[in-house]
Amino acid sequence: MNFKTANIHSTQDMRNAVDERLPLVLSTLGYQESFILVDTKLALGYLSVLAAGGAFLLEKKLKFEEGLPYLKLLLLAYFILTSLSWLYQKFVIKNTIYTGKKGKNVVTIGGEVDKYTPEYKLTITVKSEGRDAGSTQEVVLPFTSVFDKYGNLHEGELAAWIKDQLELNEKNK
Amino acid sequence: MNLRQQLQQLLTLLYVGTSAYMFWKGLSVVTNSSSPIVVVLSGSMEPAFHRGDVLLLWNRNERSRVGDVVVYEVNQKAIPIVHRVLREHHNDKKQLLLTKGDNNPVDDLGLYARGQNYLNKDKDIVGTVYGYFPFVGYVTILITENQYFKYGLLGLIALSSLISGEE
Amino acid sequence: MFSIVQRGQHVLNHAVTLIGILSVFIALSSYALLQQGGAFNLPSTISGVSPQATVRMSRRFGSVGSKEKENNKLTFDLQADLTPLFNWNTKQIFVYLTAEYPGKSEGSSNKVTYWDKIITSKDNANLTLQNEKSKYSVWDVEDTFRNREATVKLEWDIQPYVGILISGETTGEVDVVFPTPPTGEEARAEKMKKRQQKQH
Repeated sequence: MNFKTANIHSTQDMRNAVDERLPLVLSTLGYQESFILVDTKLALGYLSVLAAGGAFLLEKKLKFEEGLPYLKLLLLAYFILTSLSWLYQKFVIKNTIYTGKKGKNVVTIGGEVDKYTPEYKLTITVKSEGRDAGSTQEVVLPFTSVFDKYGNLHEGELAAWIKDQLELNEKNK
Repeated sequence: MNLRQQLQQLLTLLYVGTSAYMFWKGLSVVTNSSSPIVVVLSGSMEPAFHRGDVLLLWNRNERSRVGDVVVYEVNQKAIPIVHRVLREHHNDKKQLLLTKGDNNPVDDLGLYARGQNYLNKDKDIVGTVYGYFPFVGYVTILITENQYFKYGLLGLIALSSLISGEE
Repeated sequence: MFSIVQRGQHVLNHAVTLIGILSVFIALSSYALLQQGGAFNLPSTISGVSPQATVRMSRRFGSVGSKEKENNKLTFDLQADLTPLFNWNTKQIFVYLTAEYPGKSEGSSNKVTYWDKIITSKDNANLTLQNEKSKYSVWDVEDTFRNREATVKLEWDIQPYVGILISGETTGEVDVVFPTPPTGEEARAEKMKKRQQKQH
């Protein structure tokens, strides 16, 4: 079993390790990850890179005065795309680490840490596909319960913990 | 999944480059100049400008004035020249300029193209200098002209990215 | 190592912001100092302006295809105190004598420089010149000056150590008429006279 190791003195590091392994853990619980958030952000990002690339090509092909109207368009496109990407991150993705579904249930997990407390504040939202409303619970995962003293992340423990949280969620619906 | 992560990391890297580039292009549009910031390359305007000084250009003025310091290119050749306007002649359609470097004994007539006796404000002028920073641009001169400096700097950048990558 | 890079970036960001704010402050304060010192209304006296016309035929003097091109030069007297232009941010002043005159068509105009000087210290900023000769032989876009009338002024450009380049003009102005250039014979006679004067 390959352990993901993190520096137990850095909450950021432990957080990154959990974020990286979370999809794997949830797949063992039967969930399939949905990539729509990441893909949209990537698409917006790469489109803006294309706009910049276009501006670069423009510089090579046309003289400054000739290329000016096209450059203005590309600059506008770049600005719009990067703004959209920023807005998407801020208002749609927020602090989401994972989103996936099992059967009709869609699970979204978001989280944040503060530097001085070794715990992960997670927001777990479960909703049925099609329905808007879902139940959200805010739980706290103490890193000590999933990391051992060497900094190894025990995915089994993590999986069990999440399973418990999800079952609690089911009960509370 | 690994692909997505790699794409995300690549995007972060690209974003640094493209945002800097687009900022430069935006500045270009605002000032209406193909090169809104230039580094002085020659000593023809000493003691006002020295090699390595940085000049800010503006190109939305309809006409240049005698005494303005302008940047111009002869027949869109690569090297821009930074000199002062000595004489100007205009009508309501165009403006002709004669320039001279402060530190040169004669005007720029010898620098213009064959058969060209004046600069055309609309066609040849890249911009008028309005702002000045001393020394700051010397780094770019070192990078383009001094081989040791260029490779030394590249080596330093490579080294620092290796070190931080080890984390 | 990780935090050194981060700290380095922070320092760089702060430095750039600081430099930006400082530059704005410098630019504004230099301009204010100039205003205070009356820099934009400096008096000057330009007198004894005496233009001399010649006819040239080389490209160096504006001739195209060896056609005759009228050139002229000036001698002049000048008195101007430019010391108010010097403050802590003044690296040099570029001062120049200009002549502005109309062109052929409506809305056309010309301006030429006869003489310029670079002043790098306040001690040299009080100018008193007599019988100063123009530095440049000046020609027009047309082949002759057609005895037009020009307004001669003294203008200045401040080169700062850092900041915005500021220019202005002094109050003195004089009107001058471009003389008719001598004919070929007159020019030769003039040359002979000069040679004879030298021999004495």
